[in-house]
Amino acid sequence: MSEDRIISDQEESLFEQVTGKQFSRRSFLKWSSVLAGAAVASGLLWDGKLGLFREANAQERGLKDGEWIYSNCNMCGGQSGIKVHVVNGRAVKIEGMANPNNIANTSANFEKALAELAAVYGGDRDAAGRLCSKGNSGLRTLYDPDRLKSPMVRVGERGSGKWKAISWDEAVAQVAENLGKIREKYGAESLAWFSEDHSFTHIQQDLCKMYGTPNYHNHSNLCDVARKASFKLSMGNERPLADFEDTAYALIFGWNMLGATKFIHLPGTWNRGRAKGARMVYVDPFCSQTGSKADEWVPIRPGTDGAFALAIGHVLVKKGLVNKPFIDEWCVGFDEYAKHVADKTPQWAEGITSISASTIERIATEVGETARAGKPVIIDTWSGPGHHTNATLGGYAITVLPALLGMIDKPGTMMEPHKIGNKHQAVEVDLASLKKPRVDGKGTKYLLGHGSGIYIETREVVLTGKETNPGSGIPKAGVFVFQNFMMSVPNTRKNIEFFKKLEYIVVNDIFMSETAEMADIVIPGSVYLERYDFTGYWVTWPVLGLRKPVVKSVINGLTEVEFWMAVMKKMGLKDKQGRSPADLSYEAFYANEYSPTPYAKEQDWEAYKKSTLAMTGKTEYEKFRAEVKLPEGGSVDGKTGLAKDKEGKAIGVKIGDTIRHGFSTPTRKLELSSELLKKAKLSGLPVYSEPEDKPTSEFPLYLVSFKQNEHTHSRTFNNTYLMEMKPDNPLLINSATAAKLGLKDGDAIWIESPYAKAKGSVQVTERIHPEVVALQHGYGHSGFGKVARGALNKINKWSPAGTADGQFYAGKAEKFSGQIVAKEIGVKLTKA
Amino acid sequence: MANNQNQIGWYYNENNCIACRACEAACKQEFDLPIGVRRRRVIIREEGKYPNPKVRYLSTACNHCAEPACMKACPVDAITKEAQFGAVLIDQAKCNGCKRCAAACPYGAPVFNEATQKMDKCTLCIHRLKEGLPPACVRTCPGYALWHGKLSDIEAQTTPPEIYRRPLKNTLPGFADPKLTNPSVRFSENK
Repeated sequence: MSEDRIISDQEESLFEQVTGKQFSRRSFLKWSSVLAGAAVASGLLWDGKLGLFREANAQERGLKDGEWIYSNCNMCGGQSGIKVHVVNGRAVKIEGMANPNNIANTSANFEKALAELAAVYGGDRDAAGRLCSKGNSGLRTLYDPDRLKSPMVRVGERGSGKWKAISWDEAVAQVAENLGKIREKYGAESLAWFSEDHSFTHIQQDLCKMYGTPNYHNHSNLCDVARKASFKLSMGNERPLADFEDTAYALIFGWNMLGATKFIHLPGTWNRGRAKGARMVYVDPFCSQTGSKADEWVPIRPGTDGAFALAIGHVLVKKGLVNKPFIDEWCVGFDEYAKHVADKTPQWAEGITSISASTIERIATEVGETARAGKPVIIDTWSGPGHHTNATLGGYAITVLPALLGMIDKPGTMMEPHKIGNKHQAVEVDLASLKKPRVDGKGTKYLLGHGSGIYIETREVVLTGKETNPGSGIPKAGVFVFQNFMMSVPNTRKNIEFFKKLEYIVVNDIFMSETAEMADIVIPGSVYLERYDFTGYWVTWPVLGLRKPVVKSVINGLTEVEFWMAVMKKMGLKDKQGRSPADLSYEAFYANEYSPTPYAKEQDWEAYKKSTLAMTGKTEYEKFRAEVKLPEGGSVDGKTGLAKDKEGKAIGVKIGDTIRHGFSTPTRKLELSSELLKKAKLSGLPVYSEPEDKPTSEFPLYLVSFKQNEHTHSRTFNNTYLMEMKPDNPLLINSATAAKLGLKDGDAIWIESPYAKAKGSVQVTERIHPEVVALQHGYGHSGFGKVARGALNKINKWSPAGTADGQFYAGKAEKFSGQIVAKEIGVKLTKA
Repeated sequence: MANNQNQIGWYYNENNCIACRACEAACKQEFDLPIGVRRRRVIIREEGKYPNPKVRYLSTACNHCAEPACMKACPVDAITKEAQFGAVLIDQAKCNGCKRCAAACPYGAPVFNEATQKMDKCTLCIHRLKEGLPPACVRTCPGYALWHGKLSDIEAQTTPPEIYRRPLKNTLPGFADPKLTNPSVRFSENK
């Protein structure tokens, strides 16, 4: 009771909003005698106006009370190290803790930067670890008063908003019973499962297996599987990572790497790289935060990046700037490729991309000459080109460029990460339904379909009632965990129809999302500060992080893992040896997956649980050159040099007289013409095709969506701090285009595509291609809570929650990878 | 106070700022600030024309000036310049919420807190400085664009480490004339 503060009614309501606590004076009186002693001891403040004890803020309480607990962030999938100040069981502040995700992605740079930064802060290594705006806003989500507080079952029509709260036991029983009925009635394969990535996915996969459905989907399909496919074709590695700190020249296609701060080390690593002289050329229709920091921004027509890349290849070949000795040793298909790009001149690409031939020629020459001078070059791409109908092959045209220059797995180039994760003790199941083909055409219709499934195809099968893979069955039930399908999957009308066709829908989320609104039963989820997870990092040496509960469940609920374990138990799901992950307690489940890893030799579970960060080894370079001994019974193909073990599994490739590890492609070399594609009787080359859904005379402007650091997917939009920074997402439009349409900054508009018409507002800018307009993804909520629905928007009363981008798109899957196409359509604008 | 040897100031390297607003959020959570009170802000400006726009960022808060205009403007002497770090502070008990400090400040630092009906602004996190910790905004900056230190060290460029600094300037485009108040902030510009 160090001070008595005057506080207004408004602050009282803010207090409730911020803390989620509904203290009344009456309840205080009831509690006061119990609390008073503890409060004085713990530094709680007596609030005269509110008539209660409340937590002191950092300034009031001092920084030494309570404890700081290490964990890992999950405001996005980046998983930066955090330390959370917990006083009396309540989290009061989150700060960064140094882990590779927020320092650097090579081990040497990590150690160097960490030591240098720690020295500035009196040796405090934690202080080197930084958090973005989302990481700093985590408590506003943890204590969000709009969080779902108990399981709820639908009592009105689907989507009518009529719910009845039920107990957790009831919820477990109902879900178990209904999933059981679905299995009985339609077969196990009729359950389609959808989950966010990085969090508690193993347990869900186990459940699917023991239940008997092969139709498990997760987030990656909505994210970067086209990029994965593009790199898989050229280098066999689905997720190479660029080492920006040691590079001389970075050519980036459509990746807001500095702004979409998932890998929060990137601003730091890039800035250090730049201080050492690195140069960046940024190719994107929108000059994002990354574009704003590039040495050169190259505005490009959406979806035409592949044509630009082929023209770069053309110039490199024509000018002899390719790395011929490297290509001779480590690439296949060069002659075919050279022939393919012979007519892909800068002039050809100019007509497609809108980039002048002279700019294309100059950039290609810069890239080639930098590499020729022996300086490291990065050529990378992400979801800009990746969310188009031509993404995989367009991306492939980009991913062969590092191979042509020999810029692979060396400092400052595209690196092959070495990952060691937790040891998941996967269940072994022998159910017939698991042998049925997946519903979504992965590996059949979608040659390079990823393990995360093809959301669009599954939706299509449900909508049409026609199997893509004969014998797959048609989904009848859907489980959605921590994933807002309605906002994330393009073409909202189809999403609504999809939900209507499903007989049983379970949604497990922290908010009443737009997807949850369509459910039959809603299960509250956990916030990352309440649960366990393992966290992998996008770094180049083995690191494993642990997320752990730093506070008790704010809603007194079950975490996702605990809930689904309970359902497993209730349904009696077991593997063929009669085991189930649910045999273990919540914590033991994680300890059990940690203990068999190499990390456990350095820190046992208890030590790891405290530090939450384990790493082993160092970043290794040019791993493809590692010598491999031919095992007994192995063979080497005389013509291709492909080395196989006695079972016929490729283990390396003979280069000169030595068998080397090589790459994970079919030839163990970098493929400029893909064996995977040829095997499917297709051209092996990175063939450019036009995007399918370009603007038309009726819908004359390209619409693209983009991401920025303030938000993750569509899930952070009820956070008061983040929404105060940017309450809506005005449509970005070039000043010249706006002038032609008679639009000015702040104008209210209608945005219309062939698939939707919706309200929006306009932000006039010089930062966008004149043929293109752009929306930041994730805005436009009708569910969640009042903040997501625009309560903090004091300026834009026309579309206070912003505009949801997904509704405007056709809702296609990219033809090779199955990636959702989320940046390709024509729109027209009319003044409202 | 103009020559306070202990004056703590900011160093903002625009080149390293990506306008992620982590500094804003860190400040909000350090002080549990209500909606509407933003002690630190990132200002984004566009210069130039397509296809060569220049995007300028400025992270700004109270600059704990050597000659604070707010202090002179305050009719109830609620604003003081603290001696240990040179922080300019508003005494909440004395402040009457008249907003004259906000009108006087060239940098828009003091803001009106609707909840308390008083003025509110950056405290330089002196509660953290006393513990040897950096201000919350500095502690979180992912681009290592925002730093604090003795103003004399910042001017001598002995802090931050070389890789995070660039040639020093007294002002940036969009920042008010530093001659007005002698603010405790130094800058570097985009490359």
